[in-house]
Amino acid sequence: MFLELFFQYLVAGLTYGTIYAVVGIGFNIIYNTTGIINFAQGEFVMLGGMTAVSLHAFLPLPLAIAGAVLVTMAVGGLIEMLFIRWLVKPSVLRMIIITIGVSILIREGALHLWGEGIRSLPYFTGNEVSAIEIGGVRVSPQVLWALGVAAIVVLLLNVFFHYTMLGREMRACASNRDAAALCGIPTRNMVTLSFVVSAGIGALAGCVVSPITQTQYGIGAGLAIKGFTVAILGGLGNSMAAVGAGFILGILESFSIWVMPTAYKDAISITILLAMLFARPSGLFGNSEAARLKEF
Amino acid sequence: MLKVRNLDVAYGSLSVLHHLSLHVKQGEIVTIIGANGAGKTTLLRTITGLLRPRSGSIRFREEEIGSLPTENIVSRGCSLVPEGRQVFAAMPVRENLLLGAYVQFKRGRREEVHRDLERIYGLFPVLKQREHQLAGTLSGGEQQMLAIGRALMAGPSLIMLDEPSMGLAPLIVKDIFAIVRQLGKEGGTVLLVEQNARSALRIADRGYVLENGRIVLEGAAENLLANREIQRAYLGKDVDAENK
Amino acid sequence: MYWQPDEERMDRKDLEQLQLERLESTLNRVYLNVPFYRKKFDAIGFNPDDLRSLDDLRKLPFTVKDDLRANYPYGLFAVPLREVVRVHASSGTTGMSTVVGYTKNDIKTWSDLVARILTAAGVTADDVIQISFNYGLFTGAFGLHYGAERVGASVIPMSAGNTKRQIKIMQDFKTTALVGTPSYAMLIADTMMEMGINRNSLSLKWGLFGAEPWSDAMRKELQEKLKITATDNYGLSEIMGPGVAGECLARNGLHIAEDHFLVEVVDPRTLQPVAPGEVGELVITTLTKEAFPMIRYRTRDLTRIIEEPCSCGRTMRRMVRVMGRTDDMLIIRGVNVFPQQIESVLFEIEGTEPHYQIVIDRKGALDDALVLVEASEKIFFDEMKKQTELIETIKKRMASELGISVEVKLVEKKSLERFEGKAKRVIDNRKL
Repeated sequence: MFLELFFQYLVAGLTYGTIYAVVGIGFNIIYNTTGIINFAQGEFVMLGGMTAVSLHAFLPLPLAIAGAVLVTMAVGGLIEMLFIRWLVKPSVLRMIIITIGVSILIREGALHLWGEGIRSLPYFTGNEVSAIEIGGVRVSPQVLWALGVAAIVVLLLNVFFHYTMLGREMRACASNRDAAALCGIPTRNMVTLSFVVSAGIGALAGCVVSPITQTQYGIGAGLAIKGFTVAILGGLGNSMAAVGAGFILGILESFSIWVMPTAYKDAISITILLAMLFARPSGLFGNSEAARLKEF
Repeated sequence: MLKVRNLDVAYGSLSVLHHLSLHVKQGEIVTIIGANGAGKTTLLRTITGLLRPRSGSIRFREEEIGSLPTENIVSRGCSLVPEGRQVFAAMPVRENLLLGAYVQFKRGRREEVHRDLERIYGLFPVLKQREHQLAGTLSGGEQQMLAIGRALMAGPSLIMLDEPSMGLAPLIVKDIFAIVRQLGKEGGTVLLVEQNARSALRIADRGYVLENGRIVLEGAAENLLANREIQRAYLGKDVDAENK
Repeated sequence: MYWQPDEERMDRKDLEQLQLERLESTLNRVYLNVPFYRKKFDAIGFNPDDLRSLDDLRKLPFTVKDDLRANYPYGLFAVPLREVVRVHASSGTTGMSTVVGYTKNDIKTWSDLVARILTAAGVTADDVIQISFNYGLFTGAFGLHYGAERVGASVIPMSAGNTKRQIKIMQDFKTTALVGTPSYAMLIADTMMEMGINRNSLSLKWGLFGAEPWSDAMRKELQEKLKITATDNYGLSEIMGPGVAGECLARNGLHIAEDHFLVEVVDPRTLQPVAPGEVGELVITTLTKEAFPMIRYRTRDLTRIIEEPCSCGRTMRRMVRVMGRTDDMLIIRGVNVFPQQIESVLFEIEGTEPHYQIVIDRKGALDDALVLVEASEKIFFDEMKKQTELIETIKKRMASELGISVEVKLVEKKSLERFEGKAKRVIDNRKL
């Protein structure tokens, strides 16, 4: 019985960890390409889920998800073009204020559009009670979907950044923006692209965990902080580590229920964040060398 | 090919370049010499659009480029080998070079790119040897060659180099300058900014002397070399001692 | 034939760019290194950084000969004396002479610019050049000498004086080009005739004359008498020496080395630039001089710039032959007259020799101008009527063309003083 509970918590931790990891990766992509920490990252997850729910009203699920991802990517691009593009070497403070402002804007917009109600996408396969037996543990198929999608996203990103010309151009831009510009690479477009990609993966994550965690207009803020924590935990800029860090956070949060009231669950991430920023800002897996290279 | 008139560049309220005019004709090697802080790097960064001038005009091949973004300036044929090499450290040599050919790829010149790559390997055999090595692990001189090769991959009509000899051992410096001279011989147009005035003037056709953001002297390179004030100030010669 | 074809036929847009660059660097250097100019600029609140275009040049103050005299000897040098490899001085007929200096590069440039005008005038490495300017502090001799050596011609540093020897050398050494003042050339020509020497015993082909104004009529005469192609060239030691401008074989204006000198033409009274092509005082700014840069030097020479391109293909603009000096200018009964103008009127009248003198007196309230002109021998043996007619013709022409009424006296040939250097034509007895 204890073991079963343990694995339930573990699975829950992994599930939430997936979202955190993806949000963290989104942070990294934008940070690497632009040096900006985009606090509106969490809103992309929310937008993905909410838009998919709305589209699902008249579209089959796969199309709804695809549509939601595309719409959110467009929003991401718009944000960049409207708010970020004209920033010239912004100070950290300015950038934080602007992105927080954007996230508030989106959140309010979502409130007006969808109201306060909690929504969720239907389970991709099965329903809330269906379960798959894995090694004696009952796991919801949606969890497997979440983990699978996350794995594919990470894999695709890897392929993109290391094996396609466009991905290399973005890495060049992240590595040394001036040098990239001197190669003729349109760095401003790379920046927009980074927002678009981050928005896309955020939206996809939002869709795939929506059945489990539900989606509501306000989930973005919390996710942003947790995603940021994950990014810092793994070492800002290091996406592989973000995955690991995401799982760590998810699991820690999940198991915290054992020892403290549920209400404090969110405090875990903030505590970890503060601790990391004070003690080891380069992250668990990071080192200053890697941070300098700014590799995805 | 390049005509700069009355360029004023400032960092905030600090004026760095004052009403600066110069030109580079096709096929010339022109060098700008001057002490540290004279404004040489600022000048090159402004020409390539990494900095915006406060006033003045920059014309490249009869076109005003003063307000264009860097990528447009590069695609028009003006390349810069920046100060401090600035290679993409986490990428291998070959990828660095291919990234340099971005504008060529955009023009659909895939074959030319691969021919150019071979040409660069021919100019810098050591780069071929280290083709798959991460650029950050190369020595200073090798990185400099990589940076030059990367800029050349864009097929520029004007190549500008910002202090290519800085921080390099004397033997490597010789090689680098030989390569610049070679570029000139092959009909290329070069604007070379250098602190190592002697070597620069030896390979250049003409030179400008930049002092505190102003041009104080210009002329044929051999005349500048012979100018004793230049010798004293920039070539480190104790001219009086020599004449005793 | 061009000595430096790339420069002499430079596209004018490229020339403007070059002039702007060189003007800016000259102003920067001058502001730093010449206290005289720094003070002058500060006094009018001008900073070299304020120069935005070539037109801004007119914001700058002029430099005049007195400034050079006041800074005798080395006050205006822009480089330390150890960089100066040559010192020249002007003859200084009134007051102290003015001193100029040259660095190694200045000498190099000077030689090339003189080589340009020599080549433009027809001289090549195959020529034998006899320099009849006086070697010494005067820039004429050395300037032409170094330029001629640069071209590769064979240079005979004859110096001035000893006319008979000059002629003998011309014969024996087979001189093909004569360099000197036009009046001295005329003296040589006349002496040759006196000595009964046949022109055909000479190998002369070219004549490069300068250092004093001379008219087209005089050119025609020299070309006929010496059977040469005679060209004018212009220079002044304060700017560099000979080589500032020189005629090409079209002989229709002197090409100015605009890549090294920025020229303006100003009204000598208002000091404002005149309209393009109009007559005025030539003001020169050096663009590449290292040791002795000059900003807006008033040459006191009257000329105008020809804007139209020349048939020879050079893109450097031409100035017409110097018409006279603004300080030679005479005001006779309120009319501005230049001795040059009197000379050109006289030469057109048959029966006169090209030697004259103007004596100006003021015996009452008005100026009296007396023109002494040498007449050919014949006329003195002719009837009185012919003499009177000649005098009347001269008076009428003076009145109609110059607006002055003069007295004219015919004098015997050779009765007027001859000069080996610059001829002195005006005797102004007015105590103004």
